[in-house]
Amino acid sequence: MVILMRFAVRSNLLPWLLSSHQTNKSLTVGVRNLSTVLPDEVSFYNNAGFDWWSGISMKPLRALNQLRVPLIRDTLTGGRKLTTSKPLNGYSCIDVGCGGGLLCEPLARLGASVTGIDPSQSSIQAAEEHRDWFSSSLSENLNYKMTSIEDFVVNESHHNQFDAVVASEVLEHVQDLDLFIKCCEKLIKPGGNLIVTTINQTLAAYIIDILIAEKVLGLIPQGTHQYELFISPTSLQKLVEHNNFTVRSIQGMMYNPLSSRWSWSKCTANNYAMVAVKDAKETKQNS
Amino acid sequence: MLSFLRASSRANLSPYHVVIRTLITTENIVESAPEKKLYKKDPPVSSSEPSDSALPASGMSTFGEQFPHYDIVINGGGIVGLSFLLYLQQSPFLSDRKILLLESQKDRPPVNLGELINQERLLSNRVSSLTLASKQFFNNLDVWSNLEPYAKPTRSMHVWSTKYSKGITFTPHRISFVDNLIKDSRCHIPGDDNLCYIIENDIILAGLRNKIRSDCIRFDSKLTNVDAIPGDTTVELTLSDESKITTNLLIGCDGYNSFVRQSSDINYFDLDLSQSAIVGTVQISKESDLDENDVAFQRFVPHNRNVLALLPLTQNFASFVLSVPRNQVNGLMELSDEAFVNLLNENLFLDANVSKNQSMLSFVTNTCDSLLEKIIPSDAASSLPRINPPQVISIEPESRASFPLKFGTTLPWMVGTVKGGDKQKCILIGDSAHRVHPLAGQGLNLGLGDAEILGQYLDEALSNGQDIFSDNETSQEQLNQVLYNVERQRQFKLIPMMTAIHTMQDLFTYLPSNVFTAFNKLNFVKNEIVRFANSR
Ligand SMILES: Cc1cc2nc3c(=O)[nH]c(=O)nc-3n(C[C@H](O)[C@H](O)[C@H](O)COP(=O)(O)OP(=O)(O)OC[C@H]3O[C@@H](n4cnc5c(N)ncnc54)[C@H](O)[C@@H]3O)c2cc1C
Repeated sequence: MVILMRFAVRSNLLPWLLSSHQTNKSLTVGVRNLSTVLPDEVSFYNNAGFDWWSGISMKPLRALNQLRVPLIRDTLTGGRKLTTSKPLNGYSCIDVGCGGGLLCEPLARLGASVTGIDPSQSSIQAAEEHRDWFSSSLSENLNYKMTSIEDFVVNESHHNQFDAVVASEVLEHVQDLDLFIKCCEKLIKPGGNLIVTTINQTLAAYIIDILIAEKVLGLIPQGTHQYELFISPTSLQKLVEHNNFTVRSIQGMMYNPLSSRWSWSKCTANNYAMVAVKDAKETKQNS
Repeated sequence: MLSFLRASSRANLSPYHVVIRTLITTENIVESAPEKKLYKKDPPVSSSEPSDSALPASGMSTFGEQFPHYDIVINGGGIVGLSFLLYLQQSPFLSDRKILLLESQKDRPPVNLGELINQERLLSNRVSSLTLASKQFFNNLDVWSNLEPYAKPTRSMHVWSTKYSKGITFTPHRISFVDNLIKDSRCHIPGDDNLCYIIENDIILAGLRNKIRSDCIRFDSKLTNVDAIPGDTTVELTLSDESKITTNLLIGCDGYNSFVRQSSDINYFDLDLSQSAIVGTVQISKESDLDENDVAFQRFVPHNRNVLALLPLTQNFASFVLSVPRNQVNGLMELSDEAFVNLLNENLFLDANVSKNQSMLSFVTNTCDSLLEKIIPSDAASSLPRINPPQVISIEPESRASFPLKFGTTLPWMVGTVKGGDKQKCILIGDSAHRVHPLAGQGLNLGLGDAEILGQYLDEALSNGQDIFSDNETSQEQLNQVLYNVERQRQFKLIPMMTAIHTMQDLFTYLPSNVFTAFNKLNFVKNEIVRFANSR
């Protein structure tokens, strides 16, 4: 029995066994609101006391760092061999819809100067508190701002500033994607990267992310995801290529809840990541 | 040369590092070495001894006191501990952290390996065979080029029981279709013309020592107490000079008597094999002038259950490991050199049929054997690395030493909490987590595998910007995840390997010898075994 328990703990079964009771509101995938998202969503996420950093339901999102941090790091460094503990020194990134700063902190720890924006006040507050309490060494190169991307873009001094714009697990909450991508494009330096992770619009994604996760297991609150907002890699590729980007790579991502590990996969049916480069000049005017 | 000798005899105070002659000749002395007693009898020193009354009795009263803090403390600077430390020093992410290695022995004076090669020197009797994965590991650590001149490449290994000609010959791994099927990079082994490399432990230690920045090693310094209080994310360590330090991660590389293990909640399962090993250096006959002495031999002697391994060291010399029933070891250690050479030759050449016993088992075995013989064509001799086993000519005077052989393991666990604490704060690697019979020459290689995987996983976590060494729950969760992943990864290797080693002796002793003749033809299976033995 004890051995079984230990196995359960070590293979992360325990959170799964326990989680369905505790999650009601404490959870969402990082919501990042735009004018294009239902207005009361922001207040919903403001009120839900997120436990970004230790909540069980956030575990998959925290674990996603195993894939997205190396992806961003290697995209920025061009995959060169890492020779210092701060390989991202000198690079600037913006995390759009940063939530509690789960992704911002690791990037800042690797030396990047990071800006995290999120329209939810409580998320930004959680992110700032975590940084100040637990990672105070990052206060120099990690800043948060409560704003939506289109408000952020209004300030022209932000244009062409970032080596990378990261939109991780956020597109599936955005209604006017075209506007969103246009805003990202403005922020990125020519030659810089747009790095996206999101959910595909497939039956598999519907079954896994809505039917099982929300309705059957109740791991995340019902209504977190809307199938209509999911986007397939091909549509997304078309969309970004319309907006002055060239797609570098699209890779599938798989989550194993038992080991709580993500791995890259050829199959993009559920989650996938896309890297696109902003073209140097706005020559590529598609019809 | 002399100074090297003296150096190593001074350095080898621990029971395990019996390198030099005369120092230790019987296992009784080995068994009663002082260090061990100290561990066994009084682990919680600080709380019971009056001299400590001025000091805090437990971690509790240390509130407010600031001890020097380290992200990682490695206890034990054997080959596994030093390799791990060197790995840390060469990773850009880990070398930034505060790291300390504690080693109970004194520092060895530096050995100039480049000069040593040109000198005539006494071969040490403690040698290890390194698998290709271990060679690759040392290569990545940039020490292999210094070790290579001393490493004896071994082209094949012949294992037999009753009849030399009815044995199994393992040859270097050949690329097969399996290589295309395997996804896990750890199962791919580097291409090599050799099966393994035999090298003296002292040379490995010197090679590592020369590369390591010694500012993070404390020699002559032993861990005497480990303390933690529930809820705390650091562990408090007391050293032999009564100084205290704290750490986020305690790594036990302190050999089979591991103090870290005894201070943790990790259960240890051990088994006395009632056997002892005698090691030493011998001169062996060459088959011809072309004979490079590049074959390792291992015989499971059927009539006395001895196991004799001959590992090539140079053109003419080999190191032997003879494992015998415990009660015979004193007698054998007292034999004259000539008598001992005769004994070794007997173990190599004696035909099992001489001592036919009448048990039911041997009857069944013999019947099966003669049946199999009819089925299998006997052209085995053609693939033998040598027509006959080599003959032992002489033994280096006073090179004999003996060790008790035991089996012990903490598997399936390697990660645990320190007694008194409630957080997973320590991990055991090397002999502290698994001690195996030397018959397969795997012990050190398994330990090096642990060190490499642990290093890789820690490095990966830091290179992903994870914060695994901070004083908060998230950080603790991430560190645990890393440690569990290491543990899980190693279970896949360690459990099958230890099972194989443990059953091998019985297999070879009781299976009819023609089974091996048949097996010897299964090149595919042999190839896969070589892959498994050589991979991480
Ligand atoms: C006869 C024989 C033949 C073998 N042949 C082979 C072979 O051919 N191939 C192979 O791969 N393996 C072989 N092995 C196994 C191999 O020798 C061991 O697996 C290997 O040496 C283990 O290394 P380690 O670093 O884990 O432990 P050790 O080498 O035991 O190192 C432990 C270190 O920790 C130090 N220490 C202990 N306690 C403390 C403390 N409290 N504080 C500080 N420091 C401490 C000790 O001084 C020592 O330096 C053989 C073993 C035997 C007995």
